[in-house]
Amino acid sequence: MKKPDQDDWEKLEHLVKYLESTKNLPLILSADNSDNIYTYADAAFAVHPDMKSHNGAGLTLGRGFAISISSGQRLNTGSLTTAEIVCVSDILPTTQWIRLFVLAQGLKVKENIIYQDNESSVLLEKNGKTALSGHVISISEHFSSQMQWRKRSAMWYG
Amino acid sequence: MAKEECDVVWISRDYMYGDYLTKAQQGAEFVMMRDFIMGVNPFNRG
Repeated sequence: MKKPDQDDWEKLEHLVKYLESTKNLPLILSADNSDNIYTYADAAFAVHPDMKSHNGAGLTLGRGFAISISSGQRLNTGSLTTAEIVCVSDILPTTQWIRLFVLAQGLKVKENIIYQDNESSVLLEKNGKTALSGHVISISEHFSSQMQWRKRSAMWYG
Repeated sequence: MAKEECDVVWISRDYMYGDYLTKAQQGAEFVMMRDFIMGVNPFNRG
């Protein structure tokens, strides 16, 4: 955090009080019978002082998020749609790693599903084409598209 | 997708739990998402 102020201190106090009051709240992790991996991926557009966006993603095998990701993006994007594409590109290696990890345990993986709430991003990722300019964005899209073509991930939107 | 190897299924954005990790949630939405993420109430997938 850069230049924390009084407001940030009050947020920290609020957080500590919340943790104290919920110290008995458990984290329960388990897998359901679907043999699927579900990842919820979302981006908050241009929320940082340098106008970069923020990734939020969680991965579950059925119950509880086994992996939670909350991280700033490393490049500036021109719209929410491109920010969502970058988000999926950023979290794809993690979802693929989990898939390989589960397979290495001798378990099955039917589908590796990524949920998104932006239909435009989903279509761009599926088709691997874009009218938007930008080499980096194109790389992100093609990476997502290639992973999907290999049937390792399915892009869902919601 | 060109080989029809993937499906697209719509779910409500009310169930986009990644939202919880991008910005602060409040009230009932916070509790619903927290309980899903913590596995306390995993049956609210949408």
